[in-house]
Amino acid sequence: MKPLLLSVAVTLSAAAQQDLFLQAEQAYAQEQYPTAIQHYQSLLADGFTQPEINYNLGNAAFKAGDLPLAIKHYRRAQYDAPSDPDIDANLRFALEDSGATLPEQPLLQRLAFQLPHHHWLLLTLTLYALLLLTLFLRLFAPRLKPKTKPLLFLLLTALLISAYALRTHHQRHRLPEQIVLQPDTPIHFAPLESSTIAFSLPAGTILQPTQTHQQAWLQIRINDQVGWVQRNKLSSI
Amino acid sequence: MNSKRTILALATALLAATLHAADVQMKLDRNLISLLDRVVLSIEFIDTKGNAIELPPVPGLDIQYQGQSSETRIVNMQRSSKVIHRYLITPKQTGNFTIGPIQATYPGGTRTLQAQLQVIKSKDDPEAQQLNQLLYAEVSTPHTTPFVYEPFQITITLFVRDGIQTDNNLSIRGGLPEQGIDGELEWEIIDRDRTLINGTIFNTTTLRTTVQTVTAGTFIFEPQVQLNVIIPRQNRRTYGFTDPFFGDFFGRQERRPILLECNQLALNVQPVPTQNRPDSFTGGVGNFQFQATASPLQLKAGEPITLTSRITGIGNLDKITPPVLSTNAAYKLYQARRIPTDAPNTLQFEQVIIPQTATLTQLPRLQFSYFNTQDQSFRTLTAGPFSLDIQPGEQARIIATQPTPSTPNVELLERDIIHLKPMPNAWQKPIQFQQLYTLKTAYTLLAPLLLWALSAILITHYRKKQQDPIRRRRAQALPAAHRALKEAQRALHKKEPAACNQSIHQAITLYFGHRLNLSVGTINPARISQAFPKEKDTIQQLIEQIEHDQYSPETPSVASLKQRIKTTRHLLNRCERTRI
Repeated sequence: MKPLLLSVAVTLSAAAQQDLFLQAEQAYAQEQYPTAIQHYQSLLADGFTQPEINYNLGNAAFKAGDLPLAIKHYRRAQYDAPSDPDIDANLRFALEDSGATLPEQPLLQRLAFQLPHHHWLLLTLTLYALLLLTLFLRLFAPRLKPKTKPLLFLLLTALLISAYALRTHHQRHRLPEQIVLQPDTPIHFAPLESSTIAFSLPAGTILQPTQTHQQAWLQIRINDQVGWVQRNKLSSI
Repeated sequence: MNSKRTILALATALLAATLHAADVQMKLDRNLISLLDRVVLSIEFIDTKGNAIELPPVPGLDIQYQGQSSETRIVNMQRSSKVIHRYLITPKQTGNFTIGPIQATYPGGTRTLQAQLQVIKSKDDPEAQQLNQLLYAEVSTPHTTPFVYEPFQITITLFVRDGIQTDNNLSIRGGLPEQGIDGELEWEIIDRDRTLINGTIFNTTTLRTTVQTVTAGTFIFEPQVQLNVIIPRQNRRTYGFTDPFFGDFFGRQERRPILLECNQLALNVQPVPTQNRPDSFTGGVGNFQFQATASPLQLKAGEPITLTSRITGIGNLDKITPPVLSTNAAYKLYQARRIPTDAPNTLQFEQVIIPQTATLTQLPRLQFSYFNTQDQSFRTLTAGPFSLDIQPGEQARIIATQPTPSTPNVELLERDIIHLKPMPNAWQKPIQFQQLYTLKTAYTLLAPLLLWALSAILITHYRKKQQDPIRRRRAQALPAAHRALKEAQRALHKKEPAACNQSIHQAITLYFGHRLNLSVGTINPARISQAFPKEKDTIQQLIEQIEHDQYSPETPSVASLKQRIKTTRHLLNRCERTRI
């Protein structure tokens, strides 16, 4: 009885989400972009963070003229669906419009973000299971040891890469990228308002924070330049 | 007694050293400075720690946080430490200034801090009350309402009062439009001069650049020009004797970067009108001349003619696309390409045309339209038509029978974002990071690995034992002895004292044989006593008793056999615990 009730509840909830999604689509078609944004944001607030929702929210924000919000949600969608060419195209288009560029990422980090987090998770668990299986096999059937050696090496290497990718995703979640909300946001040399301004950034610039200072300031790195920016001028991706 | 006193004295000294009261102080390295000088303000946390404090803005002073340092001193067995936050204060005008009050909080208390600074004018500057009267910049343009893509000049003139030394290094730190400008602005110094302004001599430096905008609208130019002014080194300075602009007696100097005050120049860039725009307009904005030549003019059908067009003048030459010849079935047009030229302010294009038929007598006139910024209207310049003398050719006949390739009707779409995505296939909430990365997950993942590790240890241990005869025998020693002792116990119950004695003997033989990895014939009391010297007497006694009962005609008593079993068990257990 209990599973049946649960299943009914899930179905009802899904119907409500579908309805909200359709309403958002309708509002977008009627060029009521703020309403569309509101509906998509409700879906996200309910925990539905599918790339389609983030992408469509990005589109609605772009049409409403809110470039930082658009870039933020395109970027989120990109992390969940990195191979989607539409997301990539729209993100680059929005960045170009705002005068910002995509931040450069090291090669290994780029590799880690080639797949979404849940794919890496599935891959890591599968590799881990296979590795354990191989280890037990070697333990209980010693005659298979020479044959399974290359396999073991392969599995270990793959598992290490996969674990690194998971760690990179986790780090991104722990210290998320930030997006500049206001145009010409000043980046300071030190975490104080009176410190010298090193450079300024256009709205929509994606930043990688490196450390925090008293919760009010973030140290950021962009294209080999380092500086401090007030947290209230940014929004987490 | 003396050593006790020394220790007591040392302990008292150490205690005294740790009993310093924490404090916070605000200090200026000098309270009286001249305009064009700077001063360092320090906030010192003595014997305590504290974060940098945001100083309130003081009109007329520029305050910049420089960073923190710490120092520890031990003087006369007394240890003191400081955390110092330093701020660089640069005056912009003369006067008396109060920095603070500010509240400094540290573990154990709060202090209100305040500092006074007096900024005076220099002896040789009777008029200068503010920095911007000594050094400033002016931005100007001869062209106040340019059009989009129309190149115009911007000039910056730097005014530095005579007597102030600079190192000739200057940089533009910002204050220029970042968007809507075509390319990077390249500044060049075009003039250095001296000028008299209100009875004061100023040295002037003039910089110029050419700007071209890609969008219409208002463009604000307020360049932030930074100059390095040479002033005497601060910490060697005295007042009243030396002049701040000319260095001290020993010529020790430092370079101080100063951002010059500058006026704001707002330029309203107008769009090129769309009304009355001719079809032959190819983006030219300025004032141009146009020429075109075709060569050769006598040829066979199917042979190429090169049409060279040349545009000269002042304007956005780099933005002009080639003038287009009207299409015609009688000739085939190839795409025009830009030809590099050494001539200044000149743009040159080449286009290849292949006549398809000998009936073609002339190439039509080529039109070039541009927007003239002087009279603010479109102008169309023409060249041609070009008369041709074309003879029939083999190739021409073949081509003439084929349909003329028509220009594909390509509609240029406006650039836009890609449309919405359809509804997601599944409405499941993705797993959150917080749900995944928990201790429970870690234990769950580690459990099978630990199980494998444990299994590996056990199996390896077992295999080692199996493969090593010494270890195998060692492991068998006590169980085999116990089995023999049980046998002895049973024989005792059956009232078979000889068999019992024999079993006790066998227990000892088995145990020490396995334990010491000896063959049956080589087990003797001396070898056993050598391995277990502590049990030497017990072993000797026990073996003597067993041998005695084996060869004696008397039957041993049940009680003595019971005692012998007990003694043997205890002996073997003790030997089992002994490392050899």
